[in-house]
Formats: sequence, C-alpha cells, structure tokens
Amino acid sequence: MDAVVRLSFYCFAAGSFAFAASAICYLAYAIGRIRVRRMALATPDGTTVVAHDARLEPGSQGVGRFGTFLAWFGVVLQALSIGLRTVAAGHVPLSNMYEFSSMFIFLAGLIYLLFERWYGVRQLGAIVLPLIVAMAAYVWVLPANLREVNPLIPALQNPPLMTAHVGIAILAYATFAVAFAAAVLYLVASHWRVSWLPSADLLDDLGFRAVTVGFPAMSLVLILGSVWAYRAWGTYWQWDPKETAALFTWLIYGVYLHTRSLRGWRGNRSAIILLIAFGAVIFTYFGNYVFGGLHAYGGV
Amino acid sequence: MAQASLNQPVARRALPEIVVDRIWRFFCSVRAAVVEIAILALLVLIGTLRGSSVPQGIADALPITAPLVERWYAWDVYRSIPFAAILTILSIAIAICTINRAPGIWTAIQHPTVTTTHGFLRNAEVSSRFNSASPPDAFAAELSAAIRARGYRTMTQERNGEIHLYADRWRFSRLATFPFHLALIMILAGGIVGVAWGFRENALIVPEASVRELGHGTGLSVRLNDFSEIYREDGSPLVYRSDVTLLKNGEPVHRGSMTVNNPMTFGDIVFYQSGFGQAVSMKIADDAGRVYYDDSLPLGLYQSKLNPDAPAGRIDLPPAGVALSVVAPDENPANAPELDTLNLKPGELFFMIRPLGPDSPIEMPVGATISQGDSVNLGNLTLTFERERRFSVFQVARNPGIPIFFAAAILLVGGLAITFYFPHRRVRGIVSATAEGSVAHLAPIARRDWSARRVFEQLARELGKRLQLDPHLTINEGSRPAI
Amino acid sequence: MAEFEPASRAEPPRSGSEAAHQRPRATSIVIGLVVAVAIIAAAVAVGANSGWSSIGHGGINQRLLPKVGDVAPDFETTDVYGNSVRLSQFRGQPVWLMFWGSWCPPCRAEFPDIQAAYAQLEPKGLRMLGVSLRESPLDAATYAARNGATFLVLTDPDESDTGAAYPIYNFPTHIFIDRDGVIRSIVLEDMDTEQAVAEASRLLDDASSPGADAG
Repeated sequence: MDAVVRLSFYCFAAGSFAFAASAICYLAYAIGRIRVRRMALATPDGTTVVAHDARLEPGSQGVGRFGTFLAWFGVVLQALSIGLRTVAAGHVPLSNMYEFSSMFIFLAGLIYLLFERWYGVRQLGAIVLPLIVAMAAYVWVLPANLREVNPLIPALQNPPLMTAHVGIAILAYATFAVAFAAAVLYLVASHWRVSWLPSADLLDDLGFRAVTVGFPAMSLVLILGSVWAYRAWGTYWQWDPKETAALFTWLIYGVYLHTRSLRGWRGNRSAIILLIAFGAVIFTYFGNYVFGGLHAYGGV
Repeated sequence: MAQASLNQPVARRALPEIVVDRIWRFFCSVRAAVVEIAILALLVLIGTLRGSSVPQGIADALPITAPLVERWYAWDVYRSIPFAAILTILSIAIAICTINRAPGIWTAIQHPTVTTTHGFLRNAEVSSRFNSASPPDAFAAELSAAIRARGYRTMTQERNGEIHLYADRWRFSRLATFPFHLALIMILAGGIVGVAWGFRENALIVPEASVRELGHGTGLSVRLNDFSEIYREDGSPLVYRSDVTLLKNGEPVHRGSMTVNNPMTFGDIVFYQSGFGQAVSMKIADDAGRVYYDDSLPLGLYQSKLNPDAPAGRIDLPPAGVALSVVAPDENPANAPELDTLNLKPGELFFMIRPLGPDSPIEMPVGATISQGDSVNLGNLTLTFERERRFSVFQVARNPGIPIFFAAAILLVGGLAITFYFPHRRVRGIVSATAEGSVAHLAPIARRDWSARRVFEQLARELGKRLQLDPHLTINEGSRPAI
Repeated sequence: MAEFEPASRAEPPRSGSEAAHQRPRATSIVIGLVVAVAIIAAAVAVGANSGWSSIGHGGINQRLLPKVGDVAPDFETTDVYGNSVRLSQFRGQPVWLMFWGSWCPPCRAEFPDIQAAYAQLEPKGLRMLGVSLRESPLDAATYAARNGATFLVLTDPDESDTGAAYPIYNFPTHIFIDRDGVIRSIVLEDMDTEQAVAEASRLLDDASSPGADAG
C-alpha cells in the first residue's frame, strides 16, 4: 500500500508538470506571436534603410493542439493519481485539503477539455490551465503529512455521502472556474480588438453553460450536505460558516442566472457577476482557513 | 424569465387599486427579485464573516470601524428581523411571480404565435433558406414532417398567401422553473414545520448505568448501558458508540446503539451520538438514612474556582438544603499548575457542599477530598464516591419537516436539470412561392444565444440532408458585438 | 450539455472559433511522446530529490502493535516494588496484558469492571498484567492498591522497556495472549465486566480444548 501511495504522488507530480507545460502552450496560443518583418528599402541616393515591422499574429495551431495534448496527458496522470490513492485508502480520497485540491485539478482539467471539444475553442485554456497550475503549486506547498493516507475520523465515516457531497462540490467549483475563464476572456474579447479570440456570444454562452452545470451541482452540494448533517447531527442546516459561504456562492450564481433574463445584462455585466461569483467560490473553497466551524477538519 | 406585465393603461383608478398594482408589480419584477437575492446574499456574507476573524482584521486595519465591527460580531444575522423580512419578501415574490407568469407560459406552450415577419427572419443571427420545386403548401407539409422527425412539434398558418411555420421542442421545460421555485419555498416551510411541530434536544447527557428523561412530551427516558470510544491501533479514533435502552413509564421499549453518522431511530424520534465525557457515581444520604442522590454526575460541564481547568460538576439538592460541587483531578497537570489549589491524585475527588435555601443544615461551605470507594461526612450528610464512569451526550430530534425537505430537494434539482438540459427550442419560418416553386426561410428564436444558434444550424443541416436540399445557412456576422 | 455534438466534428472551422483538426503528423507524435516521457522523468527525478520515498507510510503513527496471531514480543520491566518481571515467564498460562495509566479517565472508569472480571477468571488460571505507563510507580501503586487491584501491576513510566515492542497510543489497550504466547485479540477501548469476561474467557476455552493441551 505504501508504494501505491507513493506512486500516486509521483503521478500527481507528473500531472502538475504536464499542466504547467500545457499552460505555457495555451498562453502562447492565445496571446499569439509577434512576427517581426525586416524590410530593406532602397533609397534614391543608393543606400538601403532597414525597417522592422512588428505585428501580433494568431498563435500557431500546432502549439494549441500541443497544449490540448498535454492537458489530456495531465488529466490522465491526475486520474491515475486519484485512482491509486482510492485503492490505498479504500475510499475516494476527499478528506483533506491535499485530496480535494487534487480532485479539483483533475475535474477542472477534464471539464475544461470537454468544453474545449464542445465549443471548439482553445483560448480559454490560457486562463483555466494557469488556474490549475496555481492550485497544483498550492498543493505542493501543503505540509507533507497531508500527503499520507490517514484513516477517516468518525464524523467523516460515510464514504458514499462524502464522495457525493465533496465530489460534487469540487465538480461545481471546477465548472465555475471554467465559467470564470469564459467571463475573463469575454471581457478581453469585448474590449480589445483581437480577431482570433472566439466570438463574445460564444464566450457568454460558454460561461452560461458552465454555470448550468455548476449551479445544479452547487444545489446538490447544499442538499447532500443537509442530508449528511441530518444523518450525523440531526439537523439539516446549522448556519455553519462553510454552509453559509456555500449558500452565498449559490445565491450569487442565482443572481447571475436571473440577470441574464434581464435585457442588457447579458454580456458585460453578466461577465462581471461571474468574476464576483468566482471570488465567492474561492472564498468558500479556502474558507476553512478563515472560519473553523463544523467543516474544520482536513488538516487546515 | 421574461417580465410579463399585467397593467393595462387605465384612465382613472382608485388609489388602493394603484397601490395593489404597484405592490403586485414589485413582486413580479425580475429586477426586484435580483435586488432581493443580492440583499439576501449580502446578509449571508455578513453572517458568514461574523464567524471569522475578517471583521477583526478590518477593525485592526481601520481603527475607526472598531465600534461597527463590535456590533457586527454582536449581530445574530440569521435570527434578525431584516433576514426574516428578506426571506419573507422573496417567498412572496416567488409565489406572486409564479401566479403571474403561469398563464403567459402556458399560452406560450399551448398556443404559441405561429406567424412571424420577414424582418425577423432577415435580422436573425442565423437563418436557413431551402429552395424547393414543390408549391408552398406541399413544401411546408414536407418540411414540417422533416422537422417533426427531429422531435419537434410544428404548427402552420396561412397568411397573405404565405405559409408561416412554428416549430418547438421541449416546451414543457418552461414549466420546470415552477417546481424549482416552489422547492425554495418548501425548504423554508420545512424549516418552519420542523421548529413548530418538532423538537430538538441539543444535549441530553446520560452517564453509564443512569437514566435520564428526554422530556418534550415524549414520555421517554434513556438509559445508557455502555459507551465505547474505540480506536484504531495507530491511535486515530474509529468509533464513538452508545448502547442505550429507551424506557416508557419505566418499561423498556427499545434497545439499540448509535454512532456518529449512524443515528438510532425510534418511531419519528432520532437519537444522535454527539459527545462524551467522564462522570462520577456517588451516593448522598443523611444520618437518618434518607438518600438524596444515588446516581452519576457528569463532570466537565462546570468550572470550579478551585481548579478552573479540571473537570467539575455541580448539582443542587434542595431537599437536603445543599448545593454540591465535585472536582476531579487535572487531566493535564502540566497545564497551568498554579491554578490548581487542590492537587488531587488520580482516583480522588474533591466534594464541597454549600448552603442552599433558608433551611440549610449547614452555615458555611465545607469540603473534603476522598478516594474512590470511600465515604466522607460533611455536615449531616454522608457522601460516598462509588466509582468513575463515562457519560454520553445525545442530540435528540423529531423533525416532521424532513419529508417536506426531501420532496423539495427532488423538485429543486429536477426542476433545474429540466430547465437547463432540456431548454425550450423554437424555430420560426415562412414558406413563400417563387417562380421555380417555393422557398422556406427558417430562423431560430435565439437572440444572443450561441447554443440555440448551434442547435438550429445542426437542425438545418439535418433537414437539408433529409430533404436533399441545400440549407443555405446565413450567419449574420453584423449582429455580433464589436470585437 | 450534449445537446449538440463536439464542435470539431459538427462543423467546419469558423472564424473566431477555430477547430481545425488535421491529422497529427509523425513528427508531432514523436515530439509528444518525447515530452510525455520527459515529464514523467522529471517527476521521478524531482521526487527522488525531495524525499518522497518516505511518503506513504500512512497513518498517524507508523509503529504499530504486534498483530493478532503473532507471538507476543517479550519485554522485561519492573513491578511497583522494583522487582524484575518478564512477559515470557508466564508462558504456559493465558495472559491478559493491559496498558493503562491512572491519569487516563477511561482507564479509571473501567477499573472496577476490569478488576471484577479478573476476580472471576483468576481462579480459572488467567494471569493479568497491568502495565502502567507515563506515570510514576508510586501513583500507579497507590491507585491500584486503593482500588483493590489483585492483578500484577507493572510500571514502565517512560515506556523504555515496553515501548519498542508495544507502541501504545490508546489508553487502555488490552492484549489477550494464549498459553503459547500467541496474541488472540486486541481491544482498543474501555470494557465493562461482561465484555472483559467474554474476551478473556476465550483464552481459557481454548486452553481446555484438547488441541491446545497438546501444544
């Protein structure tokens, strides 16, 4: 079993490297390349003047495809890492910050790649992949003892509910990360004239689609959390800070969904709400550091 | 979620009518709903941060905010009037919105407008044009059949010699917003039902071998047969388990056990393992042999001045005219030893009785240290320290709101899933006659809706394949926002 | 979500949303493989240099008690009078080995029950050793004497004698060892009389069976 845990960690490390390399490719692809043309002009008095003309051009398709390949490679390695840890622990590993950050990296990568296929746009990777890399970097600096597989404390001893509740939470966060990336790119695309970015409508729609996955998922998280709280503590809502932070996030996405039906709110203002909402997601995710309460386990 | 407005411009209306209309419109407005949700979110955020050190950080950074931060920490948001008010307003808004929108949505589903205009089709962000050699009515029928084959419902209407066509699919998805919003009200209702008709005991403390009444009109008592705190060999906790017997009128009615995450159910009452600690079994009698106490007293719920960090307990015995406090040895003697005025050894307890009431047999507090199994005389009382035991803490609840909550949960997730994953897709078109036969111009209702356009493009291509015609897709680039 | 097909298959590339999927050329495949191998190699190299080989020993504590079925490791420690006692000198008798401390509330709570259970089984040949840890021999002796312990109280205040073979994280820890010195069960909780008698009797039942007599 020890070897399995170690192997899982090596897979995570290789996955991190793959994502880092993929992020670089996506960035190169989205930003485009600067092409400098050198022109030699003959002047009437017989000398030549050398002129340089620099232009931004779309990134090469090859770099973009390579980014996608590396991201898939990272997702597969990450899946292996989580799978091995599942084998070692005997349950889906979701009981501490290392484990759910690892799951976030996997799901954010996977969901991003699915959206990339569905919408046929790669530029979003330039925002999602750096987010994934940042999360991976965060995992690397977590204390080493969290990398061990520790037995579940009594409060968490409900592996099916833990998998559903925490797993769906991370799924929601991952889709919100994709929605966030779409909103950022939307604001870029609608403020600067960059011909090779996807159309603003597409980005707006992609953000909305991501929320249509994330919002029901977040609803399920609140419900499953309530069910679990009811089973473990006899009350389905305790006004615990982590609960209310999740409720806050859910409400902000509720505002986003309602404002989309208001004319004039689609687009710019919707995108800004998505940015705020992702702030709420980050707040909820790292909330354990700020406010103890009933969710204060998992090594934070 | 379109805004339907009921108000017809009426020349003169009575004031109450205007007021009612205003209130009605306020509750119907999506704009108002957004503001209400935002206010609720803000209150939840304020409440969430109250449980953290963030407000303190603000006060430290800006000393001027210190009084405000103090009030922030003092404010129990979730039990405040503004919070209840916003929940009430939202519930009313949801209810009124539902009533208001239902007829419009039902009409849109059952009796949609079939006719459209050439302007609509021309300005659409994406449209498709099929040329056919058949006459318009024949081609419209052929086209309708092809669209129906894709799972759409079609309707046609002739006007000015042209055939207007309307097609849609998943129209009932528009109704899914109702179960979702109803679920939100049900969750609140479930909470209210739970509070009004259920009960909740947060800490029923029962020492081993003792019986405690549950109360709350249940007539039940709980006897703790055994509490186990089981560990894994690496020292991590595995299980906290209580084995209990429920008694009604002194007769056992149920025996069972519970662990964290596995509550015990008796009828509609649920028992949860919530905590544990140490207790002391003792007996208190007077010289005449009258027994005032023969039970276990939980320790650790009371702080004694004699050693504030040691487990202590306290009980009033009005018949004996004394209040008894019991202090156990320090659990961690190294921690703040200067506070410990008793220096008890393991296996010892300090008993102290104080006068209680005007008829107390003693005038001054008296105390003594005794060992397990020993007795001591204080005043006219004999106190016997029989042994140490463990106690368990239960939460007990009866919540008739739970079925409402579960029903709401299903409606909520189901409603959302149908709304989002089976969206109502609509296509309009006009089939008109040409010199060669007829032309059908189709466009989706998909303003700034990229997915709907994509779905339409796919539909058009499939229709083209089926009818063996070129779909002539036109993508109106001009309708994109400036990039 | 899957209402429409993946863009790359559903439609030709459009401006803005590019989706040109050409067949990857052999060179791309080679570069991809090389990079994939390089990434794995980098992970292995970084791991080797960052001490990851120590990861995966799992659990909160890594040294654990001997397992049920193992021969109980021997130790030598002292009783409360300072006399030396070895576990192996009880070989041939069923032994109930308890690790405890009078400072531990669950140990104190079960103490009368444990003593009662032992009093029942002592006449049947059971031997019980109660090793007090992390407290002075005087504290252990005083507590045991005041509460009528008839089992043999051993003390190992700093766990120097027993700690290596019996790393104790839970108080009390009960280990039941049969006549052959084999561990038959380990109980990591406080017991009542009934449970303690049931656990300990299994050593005696086995001892009375013909097979065990032969060994």
